Amino acid sequence: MASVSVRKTFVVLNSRARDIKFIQQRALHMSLSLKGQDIKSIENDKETSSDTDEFRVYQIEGLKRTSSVRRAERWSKRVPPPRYRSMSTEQDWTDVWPTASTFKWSAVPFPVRQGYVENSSENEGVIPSKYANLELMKGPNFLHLTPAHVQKHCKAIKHFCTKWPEGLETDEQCQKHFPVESVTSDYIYAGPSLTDDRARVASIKFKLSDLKLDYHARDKFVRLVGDRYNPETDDVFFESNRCPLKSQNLEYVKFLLTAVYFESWKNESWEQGKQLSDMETYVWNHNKSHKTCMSLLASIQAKDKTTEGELGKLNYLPENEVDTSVICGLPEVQQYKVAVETLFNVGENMETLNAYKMAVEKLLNFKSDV
Amino acid sequence: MAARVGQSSNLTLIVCNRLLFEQVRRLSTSGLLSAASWTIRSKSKREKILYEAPKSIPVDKVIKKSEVQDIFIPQKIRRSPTAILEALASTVRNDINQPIYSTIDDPFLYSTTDRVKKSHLAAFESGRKAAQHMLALYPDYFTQIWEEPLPDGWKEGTGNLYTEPCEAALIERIAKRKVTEAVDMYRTIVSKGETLSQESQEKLLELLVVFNCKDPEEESDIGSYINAPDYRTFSPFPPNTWKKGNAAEEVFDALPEQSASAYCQMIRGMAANYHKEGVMSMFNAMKANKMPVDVETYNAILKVASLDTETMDDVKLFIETILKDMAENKVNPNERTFISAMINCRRLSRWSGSKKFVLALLSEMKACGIEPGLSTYVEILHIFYYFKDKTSKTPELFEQVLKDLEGKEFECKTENDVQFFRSVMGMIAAHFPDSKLALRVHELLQHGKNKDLLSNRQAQYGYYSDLFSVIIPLEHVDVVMDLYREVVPYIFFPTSETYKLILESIEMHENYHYVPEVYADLQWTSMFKDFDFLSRFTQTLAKRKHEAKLQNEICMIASSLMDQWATKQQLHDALPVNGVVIGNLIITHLNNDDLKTAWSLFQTYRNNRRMRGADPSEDSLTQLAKHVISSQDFEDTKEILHVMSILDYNISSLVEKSLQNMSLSDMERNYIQGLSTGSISSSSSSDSSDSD
Repeated sequence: MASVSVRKTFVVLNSRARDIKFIQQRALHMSLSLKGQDIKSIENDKETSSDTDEFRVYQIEGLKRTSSVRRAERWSKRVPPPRYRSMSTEQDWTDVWPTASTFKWSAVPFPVRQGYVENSSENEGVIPSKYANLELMKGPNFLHLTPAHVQKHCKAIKHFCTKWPEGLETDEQCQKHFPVESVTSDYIYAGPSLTDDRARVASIKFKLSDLKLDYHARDKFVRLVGDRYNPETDDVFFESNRCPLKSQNLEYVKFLLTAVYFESWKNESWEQGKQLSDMETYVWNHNKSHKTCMSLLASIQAKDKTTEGELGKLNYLPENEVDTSVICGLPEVQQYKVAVETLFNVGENMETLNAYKMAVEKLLNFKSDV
Repeated sequence: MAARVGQSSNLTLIVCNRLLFEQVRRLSTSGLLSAASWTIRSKSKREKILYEAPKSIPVDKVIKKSEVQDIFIPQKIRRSPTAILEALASTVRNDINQPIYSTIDDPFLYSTTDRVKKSHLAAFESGRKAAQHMLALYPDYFTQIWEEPLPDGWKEGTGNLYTEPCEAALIERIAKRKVTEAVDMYRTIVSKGETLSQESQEKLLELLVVFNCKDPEEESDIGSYINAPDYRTFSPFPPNTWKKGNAAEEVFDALPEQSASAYCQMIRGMAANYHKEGVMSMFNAMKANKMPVDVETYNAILKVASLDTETMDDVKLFIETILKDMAENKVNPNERTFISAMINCRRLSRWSGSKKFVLALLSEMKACGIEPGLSTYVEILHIFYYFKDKTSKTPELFEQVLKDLEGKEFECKTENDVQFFRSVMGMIAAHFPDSKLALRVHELLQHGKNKDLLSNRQAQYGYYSDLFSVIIPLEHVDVVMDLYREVVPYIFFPTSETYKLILESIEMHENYHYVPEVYADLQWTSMFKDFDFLSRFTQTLAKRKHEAKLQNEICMIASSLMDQWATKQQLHDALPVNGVVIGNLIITHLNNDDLKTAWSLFQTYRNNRRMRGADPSEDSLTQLAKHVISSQDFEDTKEILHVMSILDYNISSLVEKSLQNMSLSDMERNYIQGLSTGSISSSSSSDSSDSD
């Protein structure tokens, strides 16, 4: 068996040697025109190797290392294990990470991965772990603001706090006693400059219902403040950053409140020219519906007097003729008025339409079976 | 609501003045502004309709005054601008056993031993210095940080506001503490013939005497932590560093009016540089002119009292004269006055009478109503318990001082406060190594913020090594290891001597479960490269047989040590494993009934000439031989008995045992019998050396 295998390898070697020779000849041709020296060396090689049976092998200069340089093994420092491995499970985390700092992989005792791998060839398709992970270092972390830290901080600054005043236990009570809420902010951060543009902003917030306003003044107020009024929450919100200082801005928003308040109570001459089409809501008294209703009621009453029997009569109307304002004050008419106003102001839906139906039935004394 | 107040950065509630609104309503309804109705003009019908505001929209909610309950808002608690920050900073502990927060927290850079800690921090410091140097060299390149301009503080070194010689320029240089520039400026101004005000000249004088006419070398926090401070003050004869006719004297002589404060400055400056002659001449001049002397100046004079006096009696006389002078002039002494006087006694502490005098000073101090601080006790204890003084001492005074101080929290008030804990621990270690006393001092250190008084790196190192050297031999190993866990390895790393003591203590109390813990701290240091320590450590491993789990762990330690040796055995810094260590490790593995590993260790010993420097103990080889005999392997038995006979160990009992227990052929029997007689040993040793 052994001899066979030897022969086989020999054959293989031969065939390889043939290839090599062919390549050598080609190389010889090509290099003839390039360098004389190289040809000489090749020819020398040819002569020296002609004694041996094997084909000679072309040595490319510099391809193989001729002399081996023994390099001393580098001194390597014994690196201790990361300290998270020796951390006690009952340690106080606030001592390990007392203040803000960049992510330190060796001090974090939990596994965490971050980063992006494009495909499975990159890091074997696994998101990089915390060791030397730049992605974890880039972003801010909140390891210094865990609940334990906050608790510790609160405990430290608690003696600067005063007791919460009595009578202000709920938000409603606060709102009642302190209707105006003003918000300003201070910004502290580590940087070359302590100033921050955002610190000058000041704002106040209050409920519109806390101001003494009548219908006109309220309407004018709402028009004046525009989108600073939120009709859903009834809040008015003034904010300013136009002055350079916080105190100036705060003063300015207070001035705004005063100015808008007084302005809305004023009744200017041009306000007299308010048209029906300028009305912000549908007011029944000023619309045609009012007149029509009055005339209709008057005509029905006239007819009622002439007919016999109680059926379908409007008994609620006063017998002798009275002013329209008295008729307007009647509950049936009032209900109709409200129904019509909501129908216009709120819009048509099942509720408003139903309410309108009921009001009309009552107004005209229709029986439900009609 | 309360939560919201707590959360938002700053939220203020403002009382809305309802009365104002009431007033407004009155105004508006008084006819000026009729707003209760408005008219609507219909364009098509050309008519005006008067419209009254509908009552159905009630927006006015007037809260009657009687309804409003009085709300009492408490006064804001007054606090300093930094009080909150200080309170928050107090939550950060700096005495946790972990790398110093300012350094890089990475395993490769963990600084454990004192030397490594120093070199890491020094590298950190020099990096900072290099950055500052670059900033000073190329100020034009560093004008902003991202988009923000550089703060003014960073531009400080770049130049002066005033370049022309004038008084303002001089004051600017004084404020910036540029001593040589200020002196140059002063000389230019004087040579020009301009006059300077008395005030600015005195300021210049103060600058010169404080820094002894040299530019101050500013040391950073890290620098002062890693470098030891100057202890020259306490040397018996400190050198006079005051140069005669220096700039300070020049300025002083040229003063328009040589005021008392100028004299005082000069005295303080001279005393700080131990120039007693000058101090005395100045003081006498002041006395002659009947100028008032302030307390700091008296302190400075007291400090130099012992410099050129011959005997303690002279010193005593001098100090008493000065103190009497103070009393006459109604200058109230402070703690530093007495400390300055005591420094003299400390300089001359070996002289008779100094102890008595210092106690007299202490009682005088208490009579003056001054509470003695740490510095005072440092001085007194140094006089009584100087650590180089080898005479026997009694701890009564020491205990008395400790009793006075216990349970108190101290602040750093005077410069010597930071020496207290270091020197006290040194005294305990030198004079009365009593672990209870040492633990009491340590407890005092743990109290409150006293840990800040442990001063610099060297003092910290000295304190803990003294503490450990006192308590390890005397306390139970549990107490020692509790303390060990608190500080090792990041705050303090013990030397190999201390570790040897710890190992001894572990062996004495038979608490071997601490061994893996100790090894975990040691295995990545270079401690095992010390042969003595390595053999001592392996001796502990081999001391006795433990229960299975612990024995397994200990065997893992043994294997880990051999792995460390194997990976680097060709290098110079390989572990110094030799026969003794191998012997200990063989016993360790045999305790775990692991004959295979023990035998491979024996083979390692056989195959390495380097290990022949020291041989395995007889005990270890005997144990190994017994195991081999019981395993009935003749070749191995032959080999080990052969080695033992070469080492001249007693093998007769082993030979007997092997003959009894093993089934051997006659030839093998003869061979083994031959080993015990010793006749073969000489020939076989030559065989073995050939085979090697």
